[in-house]
Order: sequence, then C-alpha cells, then structure tokens
Amino acid sequence: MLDEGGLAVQALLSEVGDDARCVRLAVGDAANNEATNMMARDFGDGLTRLNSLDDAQRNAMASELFSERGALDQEGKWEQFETAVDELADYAYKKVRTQLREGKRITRQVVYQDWFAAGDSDKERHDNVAYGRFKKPDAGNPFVLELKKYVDLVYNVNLPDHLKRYTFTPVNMPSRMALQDMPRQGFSREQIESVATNSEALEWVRRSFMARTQSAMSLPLLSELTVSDVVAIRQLPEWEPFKDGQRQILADPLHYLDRLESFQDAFDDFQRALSDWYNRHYERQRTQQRYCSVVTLALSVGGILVVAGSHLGTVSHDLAGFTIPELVKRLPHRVPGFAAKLLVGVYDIGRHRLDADRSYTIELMQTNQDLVGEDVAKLLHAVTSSGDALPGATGLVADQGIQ
Amino acid sequence: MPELISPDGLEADAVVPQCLDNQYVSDEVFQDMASRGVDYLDETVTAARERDFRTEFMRSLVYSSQVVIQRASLKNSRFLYKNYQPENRGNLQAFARLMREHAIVPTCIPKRRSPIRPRSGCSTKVAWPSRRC
Repeated sequence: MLDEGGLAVQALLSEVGDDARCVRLAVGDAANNEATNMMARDFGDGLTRLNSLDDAQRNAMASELFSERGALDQEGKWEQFETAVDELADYAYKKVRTQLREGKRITRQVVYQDWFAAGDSDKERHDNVAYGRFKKPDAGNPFVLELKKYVDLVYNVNLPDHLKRYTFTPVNMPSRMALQDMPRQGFSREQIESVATNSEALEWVRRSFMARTQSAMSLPLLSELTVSDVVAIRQLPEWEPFKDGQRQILADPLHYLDRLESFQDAFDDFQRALSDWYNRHYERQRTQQRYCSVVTLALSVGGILVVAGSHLGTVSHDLAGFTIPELVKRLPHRVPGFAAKLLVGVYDIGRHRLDADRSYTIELMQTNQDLVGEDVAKLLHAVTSSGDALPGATGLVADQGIQ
Repeated sequence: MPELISPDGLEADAVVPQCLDNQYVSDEVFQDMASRGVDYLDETVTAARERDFRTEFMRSLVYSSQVVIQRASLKNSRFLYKNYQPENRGNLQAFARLMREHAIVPTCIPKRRSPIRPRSGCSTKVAWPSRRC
C-alpha cells in the first residue's frame, strides 16, 4: 500500500513517461560507485577541515553563519564559539575513524543525532532528528543553530560540487563562502578588482538604476506561484533571452561588463512580462507597482556583501549608516579571499531596499588571495558611491554558489 | 525508460536548491521552535517552512534553466509532492512537463553506500519507479 508521497510519485511517473532525464555522478557503474563513495567521504572532510581554518577564515565563516553581526562581540563569546567549532571538528575527526572501522561513513543523520537532536537516549535522539526536535540553545550550548547551519551547508554543497553545478542557497542562509574552501576555478585578486572597480560600468549601473526606479512594476509573491504558473512563465518570449544572457555571463565572467547592459535589459524585459502576465492571469490590475530591477556586481568580503555602485548609507540592515572605515573595522585585519557575484536584484522602491524574496546573487569569481585592512578600504572606496545610488551592503538575498 | 545522464549532460547553469533539504529551516523558524519547544509537526512551523520552501523552489524554477532534485525527495518531501498529487491534475501535468522538458532533473544516486563493498549500479537506462539505483 503506497503512502501519500508514493501515490504522488506513481501519478507523476506515469504522466512523465520515458522522456525524462535522470542524472548520476557518472554513467558507468564503477565510476559512479567511486564518485558516490567520494561524495560520502567529502561530507566528513567538510567537517574535519574546520580544524585547519585559521582565525581569519573562521571569522569569515562566522560572518556568514550569524544573522546578527555583533553576536560574537561580547567578551568571551568569540572564544566560546572557537571552542564549539573545535569540539565539532574533534568529534568529526574521531567519528570518521570509528565509522570507517565499521565499514561506514559519517552521515548527517549521525551528526544530528550526536550534536543537535534532543533526547536522553540514542534511540530517542535518532527518532527526534526527523521531527526536528532540537536541543534548545542555552548559555552552555549557545551555537546549536549556527553549527547546524554549517553542517547543513557541508551536506548541501556536496551534491552540486560533485555535479560541478550551483548550489542555490535560500535567503538568510550562509552562502558557500562560509566553507572557506578552495574554489575550483580561482581568479587573481587583480582580475576581480579590474572588473569590479570599472568606474564607467559603475556609473552606468547607477544611472540605469535611477532611470528604472521611474518605471515601477508589480510582481507576484514567488510563494504564491503554482507549478502550472511556472510552465506559463517559462514560455513567455522574454524568458529565454533572460536565461541566455545569464548563461553567457556565467560562461565568461571576466567579460561580464560587455554583456551587462544587454543582460540588464533582458532581465528587466522578463520581469515586466512576468508582471503583465501575472496581472492579466490573476486579474490584479490594481496591484501596487513598487518594484524595479537592477543588475550589478556584489563583492563578498569577509562575510559582508557589498553592492557595487552603492553607498553604505541607507539600507535597512544592521550595517546601515556605517562608513567605509567603520565597516573595515568590523572585518578582521586579514580577509582570506573574496568573491565577485552577479546581483540579479529587485528593488522595493517604497521601502528603499532590495527585496529579499525576489533578489539573488550568483557567484562569478573567487580568489583565495588575501586582503589586509587598507586593501579592503581601497576596494570598497573603488566600488561604492558617495551619492544617492543603489542599496548598499546586504546579507539578505538568496545565493547561487559554485566551487 | 528515462535517459540516464552524467553531470556533463546538465545545463551549465543548473542549480541544486537547498530548500529541498528536509532539514532546511530558516533562522526565524528555528528560533520560534526553540522558544516554544515545538517541532516540525507544529502547524505554525509547518506553514512557515512550506512558505519558505515554496519561495525558494519557485525562485529556482523561474530564474534557473534547470533544477536538479534528489530523487528521494520526490517521494519523501511533502512540500514537494504536494505539487504533483493526482487530485490536482493541472499541477501534476505541469510538473511532468517540466520533467519531460528537462527543466527538472532528478538524481539517480544511491543514498548511502559502503566504502568497502561497492555494489553494481544502474545501466544507462533506468526504469522507474520500481528499480532503485
């Protein structure tokens, strides 16, 4: 007897027929088995490598894991966090070995059971994992959520890394930058800076953004769309050019400036077509028109996302009002690498901020080369604006990351 | 039988959405769960998690060419299979269409495998739903 999920899958597969595709790590059995074992190994490695992160890397990681930026400012908090990270790394190191001796790999279920699940016995903790019955964070164990987010990130990047494709991180979740691991395709610091600090491009982004705020549109809530809506939206004539433009930028990030204007137009055309379709389809002509589109670069530096072409002044965020020197003070003296991301943004004109439910970033380039304090200040000065422009530093949007 | 492909057969900008993870829970929902001492079965928690899931899943379908999903999620994720239950024929057909057009591609990866005793896997065509690989 099939349960609810089984019945749904049965109905789906009979409807799909033979035309679908199914992906695995390699088509050949032996290669697939080997890759699958490597994937299982990499989960354990992602936990044990916490041991080898230096202070600057742990600081960058913490910036991604904590939703409140000052969470570790209180005296003794950073040391407490360091101890918790050390304990998780030590646990993982030992657990990997004991599991291997039993012919098994460490799994997230095991880590959850040992670290996050509430309960007085192994069985109770095992069962509580599926129900999300977690230990309550308290003074002695305050980082349950942050460590869970780290473990979840290690778990969730594993498949896309092995597929060599993007992980799509939800709003407010740590991006894969939190792992502080080596990017597959590294870029030099100079390559990224030359693209990110191009003053002509930044000026164009600012002017284009100001112009687009004059012609606002309404947009649907993504959570209200149905799968049938998605099919209709992907058939809009404006969808394919938008996707093509995005693909071209991802394929050749160093030349993204050459394609920025056409991609911005394609994205804006698609958003307007989506707005029209939604209002027509759901007969919501009077929906408030308050959004406009914006495409630019964003720099992820020490766990802070800075929008190129912005100033750091008016955003509704815990960094609002920070000047660049103040922002630099919040970062460690040495920042271990940084990334340039494509920001595909929707700006809420009424609220003067990026709309977190509709905006996202895609990682374009990452370098492992360090920045020290004055480099960071120089870089931020080069990419930001002193006048009214785009919304500034943010950590609130969904992110597509790739190794 | 569906066609079995390697990662090279995916679109260059394919994404694997983290929202399909059955332990995905936002900071706000986690804090609410901790403060009220409730779990995933709580109605308010379920509603909030489903809303977050829908936002992220629809975002990935609208703004990405191709979405890769763990095959086990098709059956195990209630938030996901609510999108193709037989009683809503329109959504079922739409979801099936997205799979036929390869906008949605399930994985065919064993959930867990012993590092010591690898088994033989699937052939280049895979029968579903009965055959596990």
